[in-house]
Amino acid sequence: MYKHILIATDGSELAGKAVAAGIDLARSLGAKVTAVTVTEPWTAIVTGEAAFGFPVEEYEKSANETASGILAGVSTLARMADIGCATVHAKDQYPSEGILDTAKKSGCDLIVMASHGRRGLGRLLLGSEAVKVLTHGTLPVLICR
Amino acid sequence: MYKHLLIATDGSQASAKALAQGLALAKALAIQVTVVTVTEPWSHGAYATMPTPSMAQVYEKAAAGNAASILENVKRAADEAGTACQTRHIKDQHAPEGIIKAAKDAGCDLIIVGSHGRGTLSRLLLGSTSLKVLTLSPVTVLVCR
Repeated sequence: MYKHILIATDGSELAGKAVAAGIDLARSLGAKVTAVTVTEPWTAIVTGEAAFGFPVEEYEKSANETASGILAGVSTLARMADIGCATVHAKDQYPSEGILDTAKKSGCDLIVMASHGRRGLGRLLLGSEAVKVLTHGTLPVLICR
Repeated sequence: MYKHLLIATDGSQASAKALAQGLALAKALAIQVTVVTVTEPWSHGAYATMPTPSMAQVYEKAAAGNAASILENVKRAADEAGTACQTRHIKDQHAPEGIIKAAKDAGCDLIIVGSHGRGTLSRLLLGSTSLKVLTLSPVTVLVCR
C-alpha cells in the first residue's frame, strides 16, 4: 500500500485535520511522511504601493518564520505518533505547484490535503488548490474536510 | 482511523484503479469495504412525459443486469485481493448523489473514487462525478488516477 505520504498544510484549522488524518494513516500503514508548506512569491502577495512598505527581504523573513512554525507543529505531531517525518518549505511557488513538485522530488505515492485552506469560500466548495493538485497531478489525493 | 470504506465504480477502466487501491487500502488497514455502483433514472427532463413504459422496463432490466455484472467483477477482484466486501447497486440516482447516499446508508467514513469514469473528456480533467462527490461529501474522499 502507500509507502510515502505527502501531507500539505498551510497551517489553517482545516489543514490541521489533514495533518492528523495523514499521520494517522501513515502510522496504520507503516508509511513515511513528508510534510510540505508552500509560500507564494512576494510579487503574488504584495502589489502596488504596499510593495514600498513591505520589501522583499522582510516578506521572505516572515514567510520563512511562518513556514518553519507550521512545519515544526507537524514534526511534533509526527514524533508523538512515533513516525518519521521530513519537512519541506517550498518557497516562491503557488501552493498546488509547490505541493506537486515536492511530491515528485520526494517520491511520494499519496498526497493528503484539506478540501480548502485559508481562502475557503465556503464548506460547500472545493478549494482551488485542491482542484489543481487533482487535475495537474497523477498521484492519488486524499481530500479531508 | 477509518473504519468503513466506500469504493465507487462504474466498471470503467479508470475506476478500476480506485477499486484496486481501495481494496488494497482496506486490506492494509483491516477495515470493512462496501463497493457501490449507481445507475441513473430512465426518464427526466423533457422525456419524462413520453409514454414509454415498456422502454422504461427494458432500461431497468438492462441497468440491473449491467450493475450485477459490474459488481460480480468487483467480487472477483476482492477475492483475488483477499478482502471481503459488500456490494450495492443504487438505482434511479445520479452518480454523485447515489454514491453519497450509499456512504451515508452504510456509515462509511471514507469514499474512494476514480478521477473520472466512463464519460471522459480528457485524462487531464477531473470527471464531473468525482468533482461533485468531492463537493457534496461530508466525509473524506480519496481520488485515484
